Amino acid sequence: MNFYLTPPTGDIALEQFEEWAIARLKVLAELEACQFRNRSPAETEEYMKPVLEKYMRLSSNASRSSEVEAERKRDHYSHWTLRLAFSSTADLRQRFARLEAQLFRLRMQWDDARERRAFIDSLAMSWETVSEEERAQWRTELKAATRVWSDEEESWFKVAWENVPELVERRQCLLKRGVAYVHVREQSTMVVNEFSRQLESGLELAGRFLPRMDEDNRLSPILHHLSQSFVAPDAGYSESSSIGDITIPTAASVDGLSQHFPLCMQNLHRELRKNSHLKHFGRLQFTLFLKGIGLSLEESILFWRKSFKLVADDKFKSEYLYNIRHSYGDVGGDANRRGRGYTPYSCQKLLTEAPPSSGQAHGCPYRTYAPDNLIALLQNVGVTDRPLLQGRAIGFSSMRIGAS
Amino acid sequence: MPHATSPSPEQDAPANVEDSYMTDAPPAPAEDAESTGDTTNSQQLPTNGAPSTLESMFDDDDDDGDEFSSSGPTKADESSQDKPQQQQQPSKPKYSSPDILRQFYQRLFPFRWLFQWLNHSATPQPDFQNREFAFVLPGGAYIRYQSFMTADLFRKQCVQMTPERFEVGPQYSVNPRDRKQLRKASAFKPIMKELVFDIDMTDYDPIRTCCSGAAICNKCWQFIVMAVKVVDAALREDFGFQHILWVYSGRRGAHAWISDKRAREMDDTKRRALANYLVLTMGNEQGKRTGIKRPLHPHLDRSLKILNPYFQDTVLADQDPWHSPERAEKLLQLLPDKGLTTALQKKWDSTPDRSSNQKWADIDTVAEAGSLTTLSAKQLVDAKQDIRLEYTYPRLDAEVSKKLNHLLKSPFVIHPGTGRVCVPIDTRTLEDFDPLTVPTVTDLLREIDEWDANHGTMSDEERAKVQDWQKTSLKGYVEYFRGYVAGLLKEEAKGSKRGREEDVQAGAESMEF
Repeated sequence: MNFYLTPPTGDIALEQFEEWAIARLKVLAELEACQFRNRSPAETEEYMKPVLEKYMRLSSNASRSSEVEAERKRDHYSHWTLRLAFSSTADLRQRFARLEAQLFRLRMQWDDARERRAFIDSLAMSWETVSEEERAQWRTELKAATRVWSDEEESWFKVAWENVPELVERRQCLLKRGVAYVHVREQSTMVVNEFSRQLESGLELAGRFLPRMDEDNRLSPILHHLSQSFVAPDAGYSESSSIGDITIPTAASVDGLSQHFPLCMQNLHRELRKNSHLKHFGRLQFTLFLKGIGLSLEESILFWRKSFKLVADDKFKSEYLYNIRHSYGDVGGDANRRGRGYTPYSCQKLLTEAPPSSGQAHGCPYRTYAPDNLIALLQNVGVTDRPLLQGRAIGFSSMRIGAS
Repeated sequence: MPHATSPSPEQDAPANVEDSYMTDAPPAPAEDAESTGDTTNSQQLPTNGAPSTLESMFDDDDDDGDEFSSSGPTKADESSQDKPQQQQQPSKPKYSSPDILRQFYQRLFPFRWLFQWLNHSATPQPDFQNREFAFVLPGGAYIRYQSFMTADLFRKQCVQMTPERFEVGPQYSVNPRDRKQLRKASAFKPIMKELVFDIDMTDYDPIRTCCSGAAICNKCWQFIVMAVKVVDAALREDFGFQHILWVYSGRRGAHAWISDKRAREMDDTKRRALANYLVLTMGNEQGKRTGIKRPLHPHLDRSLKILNPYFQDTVLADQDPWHSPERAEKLLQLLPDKGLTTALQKKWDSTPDRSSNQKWADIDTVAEAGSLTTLSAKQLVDAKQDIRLEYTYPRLDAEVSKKLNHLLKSPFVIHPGTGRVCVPIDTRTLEDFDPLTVPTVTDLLREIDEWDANHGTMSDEERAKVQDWQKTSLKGYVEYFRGYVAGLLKEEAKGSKRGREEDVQAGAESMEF
């Protein structure tokens, strides 16, 4: 286990630099895919075991393998390489930190208990074990606050409450004058949180220093390539580059064009026509898409006004109009107007956002729909190739969702 | 893309626009906001006759409309609820006439202590200088991002603009007045504010019987007393805060301002965590109930101990919430046992005029008689605890506490609806505080005149020693506030050795601009 606090300083070959980083990237990509496919933690764990074994073996300290040192080195270097590669934008940083934290959690779970204990103790975190007297004094309160049942280990530690806001929020720790008494079972969560926190600030720092990196033009193409292969390009939006110079979409032509939309947008369009209404996030997703294909603000307002045909003018003005204008950067704070609103959402974003609840239609149908519903939807939009549909149904849970 | 995770702007935006209007303003379209502000200013010019500070007055007049839709949440609740009240009270405008307000700010408002309270030191520092104030002008315009270098400049602008009230926001990373000169908008961000709480009587409407809406009486004020006690105890015992100022909100609620350094520096995550720690989600109107887990968390256990006597006196005796059969229905809904509720229903049908106290006792009698079907005796005790919590536990407007950049009405301003001054509440004598005897601005001005009349024989020299606020019933409140602020400053000076170095650094950074 490693918090990756000190960067490596040894010399390595350029090929190794790239090769190790790519191996780690594969692991992280698989991990993310598990999330996109809504795998449960247990399924993820099972799926990831061979993947990690193959690309990033990390044996325990106890193992006699001569490879231990080499494995450690690989792990260490690849982490720091990717850290560099993923520090350039806030999006990348966030995504990298999230995945690394997941990887860290997995590995901590697999580590054997004794090594985990040793690792946790080695961390310079400001926790203090609750003494015997204190435990005796507050036993009832401690047990009530941390929901410890009689057969559980009676061991707690103390931290400043600011370090465990999520436990405070759920009232799962005892508070005394700003000190939180936390049960040991929360410790691993805290270690993972601490890992994320440190990684995030480390990435932030790296991001700031990246432009000033002293290097000889050999690394930056590799770093760039590494981060690019991981990310779906953010759908850029600018008025000049939209397909507007061929045929400019209008409110009236959206219906006709909709058959060429990607499935998520077709789905939104169908929902809109069916109910003459879309909920907020669906509206936002669709508005930004329409904006991206070149529908102007005026046409967009017209389109929504006509589509919400059951809504009175007043209500439309007071509840929906502002949103549309906001998306186009027509109103709002300085930053919003300067940036001319938002850019259309990428698949990446749709896949990672909160899934729709009942009545909502946003997000990616390939992710959020149950196989049967997905097949029905695909048939509705004109996919009739039976083997293909069957393939979808069978392969649904393992299908790689292309981010294109 | 902030909208991806935050609640939809459709809720924020129109609400914000509405907030920017005081309720006595004639219903005007949004675009008029700034022009209203302008006319107010220009009308005041001749009466002020103070050209030297014209610049400071017009400093922000060129602000465009997007001020209102910027992300800083504004205090929402009061404006809409004030409306009915004002229609009943045609005399209301007199409290916010520029003349009265000017006299109030000139002669009575304790600017010095307010400054020290927000500045945490006697000499001006960024804690105060980079802090946002928002003015609500008599015309209804809402002006954000005001900031002042000294207490005196602050006072001058108040005297000139005569805001109906003003709100206090966070300290920003740079002076709020300079925010548009920054190359990166993200460099302008809130960095410090007191932790605040808002308890409003409207949240108690489902359980109070004496009044509703904006009205308040001594009976329902007890709900605020209970809430103050519970929240105050949690803040002190659980979180270790010491500098807690409770303030009467001017009509039917109370605010808390926590000035401990540790509280001021909390980010949004911590504020949210702390607020949710204190909030108890209870059944809503549709009767959807989330059970409170057992064993009770020590905070809830302590709260219940504080609240139990109030449940007997305030709730059962004073409010008598289940007296009528329709209201008793509500109590039955809260008891999750069919056998018990049927038996109770039968009993109350035959003897209709039983008080809430009796009905509460009936639950046990009927249960002991063996009508429990699904519930165990222990579960009944829990269910009764839940009901007690529902009828006594503080109902916080938690959103106010969760955001670092939320503005809250300042202490000592005048509530435009009642004319009462938002005075601090001394928690040591919490029970004695009577919101209905808090002085109004007109009372206070009259008291100055009376004092002057009664002390006509005094020499001018002696008379000059007595400040106007000392001649009025505001005296006790200002002195309490002064003592409170002195305690805060003392603590701050103790811990400032290390802090001073940080300040020097921060100062050096801001010099770069």
